[in-house]
Amino acid sequence: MDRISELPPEILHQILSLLPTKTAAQTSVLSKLWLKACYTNPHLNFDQFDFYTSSDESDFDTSDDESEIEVDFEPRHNDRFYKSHVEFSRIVDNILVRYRRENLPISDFNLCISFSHQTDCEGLVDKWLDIITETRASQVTLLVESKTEDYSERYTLLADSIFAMESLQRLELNHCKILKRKTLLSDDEIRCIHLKNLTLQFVTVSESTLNTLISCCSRIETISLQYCIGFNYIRVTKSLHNLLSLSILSCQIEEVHIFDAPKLLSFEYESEWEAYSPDKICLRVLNIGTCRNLRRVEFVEAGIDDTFLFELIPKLHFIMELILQFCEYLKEINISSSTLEVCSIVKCDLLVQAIFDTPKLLSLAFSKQCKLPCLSFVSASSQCRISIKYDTIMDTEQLMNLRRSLVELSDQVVDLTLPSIDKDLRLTSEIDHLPPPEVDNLSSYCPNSAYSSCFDLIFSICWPKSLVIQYCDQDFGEFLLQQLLKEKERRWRFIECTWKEYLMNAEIEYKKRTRNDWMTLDRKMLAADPRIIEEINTMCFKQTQRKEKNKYSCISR
Amino acid sequence: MSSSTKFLTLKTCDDKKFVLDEAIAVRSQTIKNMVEDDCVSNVIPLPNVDSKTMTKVIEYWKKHSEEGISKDMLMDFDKAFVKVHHSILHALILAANFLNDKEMLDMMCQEVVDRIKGKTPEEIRKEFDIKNDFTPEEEEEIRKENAWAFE
Repeated sequence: MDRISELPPEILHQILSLLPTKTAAQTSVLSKLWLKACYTNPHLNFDQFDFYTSSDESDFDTSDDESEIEVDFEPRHNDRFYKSHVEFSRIVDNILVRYRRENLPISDFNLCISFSHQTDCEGLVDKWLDIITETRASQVTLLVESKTEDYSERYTLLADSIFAMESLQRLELNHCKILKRKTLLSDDEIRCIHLKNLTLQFVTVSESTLNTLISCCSRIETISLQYCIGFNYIRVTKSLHNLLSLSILSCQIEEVHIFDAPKLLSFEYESEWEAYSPDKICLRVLNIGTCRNLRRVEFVEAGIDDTFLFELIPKLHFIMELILQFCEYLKEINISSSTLEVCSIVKCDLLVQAIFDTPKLLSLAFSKQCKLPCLSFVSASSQCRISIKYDTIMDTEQLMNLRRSLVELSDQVVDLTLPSIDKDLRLTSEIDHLPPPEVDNLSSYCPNSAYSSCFDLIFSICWPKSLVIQYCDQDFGEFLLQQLLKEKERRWRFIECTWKEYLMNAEIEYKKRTRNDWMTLDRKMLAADPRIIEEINTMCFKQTQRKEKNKYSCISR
Repeated sequence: MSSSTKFLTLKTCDDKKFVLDEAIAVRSQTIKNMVEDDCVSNVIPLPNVDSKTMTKVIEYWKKHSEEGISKDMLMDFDKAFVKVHHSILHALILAANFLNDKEMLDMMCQEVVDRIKGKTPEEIRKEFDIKNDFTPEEEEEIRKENAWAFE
């Protein structure tokens, strides 16, 4: 009894669209119902790389052989590629022509094609776009890649083909050049007014083409530009009523002017990460006009300075999340906002001072900072948590700085993440008379060796209310077993504050290597079956009694 | 609407009744729309779903509404849930489609896709008991037309 073939056509189409191009086409011989589903599928997905058979692939692999230099110009390789490319283009062309002839609908069109040279089928993709325009497809994704990496050799698409797609709602272009033939287009030539999502990656496009495209799409909701060239500003003078997010990654954009985008919630800017030269491109002007709903702003290597930030923030009346990454011009920041809830600062290494006047701030996160800036809070939420994360600890100096910062932050709730501690690191003796500052959570990785001295070091930096150790290995497990199953020794009863006592008294939870849920570790169970420890990946120790700060300082004196 | 737990009665095509917490039943967009438009009297008829299938659907809904259930546990549940004969798979797809539960529909379709992948047409026919209704000549013709797919 064949039931699957009797599914409604739209469901069969959904199933077909999830299959690789070739496999989907093979189902046409199953039965008449499948043939019909294949021939009328409105989701068209053509990926050239689905077309290489396994024997083709092995042919390509052999060209990696070291004896063959200049593989790209090796004739057989190119020949092979060219043949498969021509074959692929022919199939796509045949199918699209049939859809046009039979007047079949296309709802979305996905194309991934690679050209050995841009002249080998000039205008073919434009022809396909014309067919798609006629069939009123709403989703179009094109990856039109040239074999050569040269920007000037990118496959050229005509802007006119894109502007003509009236039903278009989502457009994603990859690795191509958009060329506008006329400098000025009349309004009736721009018909893609329903576009909601625009994504351009590795696209060459001129300022005027891009600005025309964005300006004419009054319903646009998201714009994402990545690694695009050909323009260095965005200027949108028309009102973008529905724009929700604007993201600019690694494009050479210096100025962003958006005069009206009342719904904009998120702005993201990341500059070219490879350029470290002094004349590197960075955001110099952000003119946000009436974007008064902007909730999330992220700058990555944006080259913004203290004054830029100080002047920008009061304009963002609804900002909830601010992210500053690799902003190496920031030195003394002063953030004053009645709405900000989340602030993340990542490797802004010259930052020495940060003042927060942010009554709603709930989370302040630092990561990869060499040294924490001096923090002062004019105001912050009483529930504010500060999280500090290090991927590497370079030297003792850094640990000393961290400890000093933690002492200063003793009134705050602090979550600390440390890398696996190196046994050669030591704190200098000058701090020993001060009690270690308390932190709420400390998360770290399993030390490699010398576990005792690593614990000594961790507990001299801070006293965690809960301690999580990830990626525990077998040696570490055995070490813990010894500690946990030791009888309480009399002498420790009076010196409450060693890490050994801490481990012994803590409530312990653990995760196995194979599972993701927490389980409680019972000491009696552990004593009966010590092999449990071998399966443990992550351990969490929770302090059962509050440490009395004074007691510790008395003892250490 | 009151905040206390409300129950809905669903009636399948074979006249079986299921009483279900409204918060769970609204995983179905179809039922949600009915509730929101206030056109729920006392019993919601589901003319396209039989009781055997509905039992499975409710099992899925309840598991996915459990509080504090981990992602891993859900994944294990889903994996086991889709391992059924294709006739049940078919009934579940139709039910998910009628009830308009996109998450469940996507999961069931993905299962069909996974059963098709890596198989020859003959193996696919066997998997789903598909009867080949082409004459050998017709089949040859289609293979020729789509020769690129069979290389």
